[in-house]
Amino acid sequence: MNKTVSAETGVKLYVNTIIKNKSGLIGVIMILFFVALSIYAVTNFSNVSHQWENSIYWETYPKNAMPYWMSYFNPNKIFATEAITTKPSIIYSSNTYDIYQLNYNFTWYKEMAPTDVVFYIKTNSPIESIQILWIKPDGTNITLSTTSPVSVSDLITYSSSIDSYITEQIGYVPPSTTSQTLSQALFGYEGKGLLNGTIEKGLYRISITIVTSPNTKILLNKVYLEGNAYGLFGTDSYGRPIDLGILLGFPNALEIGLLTSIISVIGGVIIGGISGFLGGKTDSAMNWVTLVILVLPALPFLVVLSYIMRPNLILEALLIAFLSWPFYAIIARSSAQSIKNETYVEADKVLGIPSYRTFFTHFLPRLTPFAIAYTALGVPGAIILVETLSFLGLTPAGLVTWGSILNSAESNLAAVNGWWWWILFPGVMIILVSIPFVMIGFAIEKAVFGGK
Amino acid sequence: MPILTIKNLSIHFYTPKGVRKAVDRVDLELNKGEVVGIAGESGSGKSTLALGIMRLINYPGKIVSGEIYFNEENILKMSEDDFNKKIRWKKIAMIFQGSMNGFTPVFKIGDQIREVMEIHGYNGDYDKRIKELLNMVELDESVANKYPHELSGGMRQRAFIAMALALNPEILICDEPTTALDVITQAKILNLLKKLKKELNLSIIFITHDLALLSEISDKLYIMYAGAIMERGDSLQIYKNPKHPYTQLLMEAIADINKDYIKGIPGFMPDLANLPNGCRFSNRCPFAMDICKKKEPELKRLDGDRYVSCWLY
Amino acid sequence: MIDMSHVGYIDPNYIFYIKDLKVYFTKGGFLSKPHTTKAIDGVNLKIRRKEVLALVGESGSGKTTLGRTLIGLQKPTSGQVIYNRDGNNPIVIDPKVKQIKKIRRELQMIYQDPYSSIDPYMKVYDAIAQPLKYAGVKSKEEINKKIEQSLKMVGLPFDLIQNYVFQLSGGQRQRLSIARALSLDPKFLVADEPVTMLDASLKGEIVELLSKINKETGITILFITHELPIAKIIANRIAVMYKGKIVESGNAKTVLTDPLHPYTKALLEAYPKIDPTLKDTYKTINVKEEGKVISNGCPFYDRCPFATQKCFEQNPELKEISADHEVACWLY
Repeated sequence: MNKTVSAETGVKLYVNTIIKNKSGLIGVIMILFFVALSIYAVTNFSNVSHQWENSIYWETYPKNAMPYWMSYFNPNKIFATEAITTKPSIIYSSNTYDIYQLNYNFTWYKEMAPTDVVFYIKTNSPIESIQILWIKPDGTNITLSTTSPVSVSDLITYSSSIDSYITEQIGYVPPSTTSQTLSQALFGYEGKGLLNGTIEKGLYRISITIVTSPNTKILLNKVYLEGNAYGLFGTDSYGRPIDLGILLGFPNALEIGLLTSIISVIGGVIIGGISGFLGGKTDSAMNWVTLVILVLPALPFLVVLSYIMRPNLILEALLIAFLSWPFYAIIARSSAQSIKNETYVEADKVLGIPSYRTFFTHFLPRLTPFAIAYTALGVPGAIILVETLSFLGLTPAGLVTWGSILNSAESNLAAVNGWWWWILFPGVMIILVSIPFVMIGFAIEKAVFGGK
Repeated sequence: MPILTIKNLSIHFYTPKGVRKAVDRVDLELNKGEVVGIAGESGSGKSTLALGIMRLINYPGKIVSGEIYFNEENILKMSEDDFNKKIRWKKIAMIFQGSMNGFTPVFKIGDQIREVMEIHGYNGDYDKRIKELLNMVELDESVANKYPHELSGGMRQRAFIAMALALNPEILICDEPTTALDVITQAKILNLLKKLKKELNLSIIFITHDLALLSEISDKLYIMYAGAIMERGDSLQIYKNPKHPYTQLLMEAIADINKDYIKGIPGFMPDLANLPNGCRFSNRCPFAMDICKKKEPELKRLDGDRYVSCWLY
Repeated sequence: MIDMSHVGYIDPNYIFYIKDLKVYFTKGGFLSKPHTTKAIDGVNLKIRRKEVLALVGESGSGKTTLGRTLIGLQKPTSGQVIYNRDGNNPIVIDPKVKQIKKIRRELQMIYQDPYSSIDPYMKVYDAIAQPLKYAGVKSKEEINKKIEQSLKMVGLPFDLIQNYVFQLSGGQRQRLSIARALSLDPKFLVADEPVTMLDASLKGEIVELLSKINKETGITILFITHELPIAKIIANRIAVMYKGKIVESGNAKTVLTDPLHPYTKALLEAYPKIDPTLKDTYKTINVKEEGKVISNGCPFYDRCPFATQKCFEQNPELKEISADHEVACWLY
């Protein structure tokens, strides 16, 4: 007589349905993968994320380098950074100063000059002066000097010396002095065609002479011949690897996405559910409020509020949730209204069961499944909204998000300069992170609505 | 020679829970000018049987076996096209429980009847025939120009009967035609059907769960339970002297204005996807014997045209 | 409690005293002309303690509305419903009045559709236990005991409590509905078409059950149905409704064997009888098709074959013709 229980209610049913569904399964796997990445990012790289805005930290990285795998397409023109080191020798020591010499040799057979040359000399007390003698394969040479020596310096530091050299060679003042141009000057044939792109191939020698205070030790020395390819996704104008940026952006995106979605869905469902349940004047009033907020244009509002309040992550989530809950409230309300028409709701009244109990017994269990589905489906929207605000520069500075990466891409004219990797990968990530949530959301939706 | 003969008809539904044998090896005969009543509760298969005759069984249902002879021609073997042109609505028509809602609200009644006549290829004067039909069902001719919502439920049901009779079919299948109507309209519709039977020599298959209603119109009676025929025979005889235990219990369960007392039938109808070995009524039968649970009884002829499917006989 | 003088003397034999009850529903009125439906249009009725009163009528007659108004789910537009609890404390039933919550327990209802009157996703145990909890039954033992009693009364096995309602059949759910209402020890039960949606083989059981409950516990039952034959089996008294008014009432046997009102007569003629000898004869139903005329007088005017001008102008009141047999018709 007892029918076998073919449908179990509750959480087990939903978990089972999601996993059985193909898209749901893929979605779950992807999200687990993203969560793992986020945990990895938070545990191993938290110090890095604090340094994100510190340009000095990234000095030794190539700037605007494209992804390293691009070198497979054109090995001659695309290459990674090379670093060379040497043993320093002390050539003079006295009570007032020490003089060290560092001699480097390297061969260069590529078609292009490095994008930059970075000199890294780590000492335990400040360097008083640096002088670099650069000898090309054909014997011609150039002396680089600077008025403010630093332990990490790239060619821009020596731009005045190199600029005068260039002017001397080509006969006029060069129009722009980018690191690329300066590097070109160090690798090109002397003469009018110094900057025309042809590179001297062969053995290059560098002789660096530094003057320091007495008893200074040279702890580390390296010369970076910066390539134009680095990392999985390249680097930006500050040398920051984009792959790292994307990794660091994960936890922020996921946190805000989930937080916002959960708050707005739960808030919306409770408000809408109660509103539909109560009916009458309370319902009319709450509905009015819901519609007013619904109509507000989300983005402009958020932009203005973010600009005024400069919120942190949590506050940002609350702001976005405040503008998103009406959408769910409306659905929950109409759902509640149709439940209210069911006979068992009136029967409860006759049986003397108080209204609040009726709400918990009959309404909540019916509102919950759709709430869960929409929580999943709402995450991508929240993420995109946050990344957009970030792109507009409205999230707290120092927070590494994909939007902020895109923001600096925009201000550094990445598109104009053809640094596509700076734009493509963060952009794709924003879309990619949405996909598994949508897949899970659809799987849940199918379980909740499609089955009936 | 019966006008309709059904032999060994089986209709199965293929559901995720199993194969539901909605109609299980049913035989039936309808003579010209006769009313055959099919009685059964919900789930007995009576409506499926009707749809099967009209070849309106759709996925996941399927006519699995059997033959249906209309005037000696097996209509199950015809192509869908042929059946539609020659039989459906032309020779065999059907009215349903919700027929009064079978009219589209946006077109006039007359236009809808006209459309049906066109589709099935009526030759002749359309307007004249429509007037004729409305008269036949005791509706005023002005109804042709009215919209469905302007008529009462009873009037719409009559209009639908008119539409069913448009091409002068020989057989009319009625599946719970009055269940959704109030009892006074029901009595009037029944009067109408009796009149049509007499005047047009119409053969009717009348399907309902209301045994009392059936008694007022049927010549022959078929009692269906869980997809199979339990008892069949002359209507008067069965009401006077029901043989099958299910028929007996059903007679006692039906409320009739003269009765003071009705009895229920304890137990449940078996799952059509999981029919038991033996008689399908054995779990509820007060006279169940050992053999009833092991082997399914055949529909055996008792005397005259009375057949019973029961080990008591 | 109501001031006695307001209400007048109520015979303690009557549990319900309905005076000039009118329930009108008005729709629209904002941008379109308001449309009023007169669900109950002047009903006077006395329900005796411990009886089974059958309220018979077609859909639209107002019978369901009457049942709902009696237990306080519907506010009367005018008139009074007086509930005479134990003979000494008549109360006016009105959903807006605060007292209604206190006496709710005593007035229960069984609904027509067993599939929607109990939440299918509830556990059977909770379906009965919840109302008990809010009715003041505190201890778990007491609740379990009451559940056991009620389930036994309706013929359901006790171990059903661990099942979910959706696992139950229609007949079982209807019994559960009855058990749920019974467990609160009500004084009055409205059964709104309780067997209409059940199969023939199940109707008998539920009807028998309700009859048994009435005889054993003395609960007054208002049995609402459109199936006269069912009413005949269970009712002590019967009231026939048409378009919001009671047209005939009285002892069930008397009314059904000797109907007075043309509508009642037509109903009795129209109901199918198990009589195959009639299969070639036509029934005479003395009722015209429903017309467009709306009279201010008798609601049956446009369908009545005996209607006169007086019937059109004046509404006949219920008049006692013989012992416990009243009819509202100008023919008498």
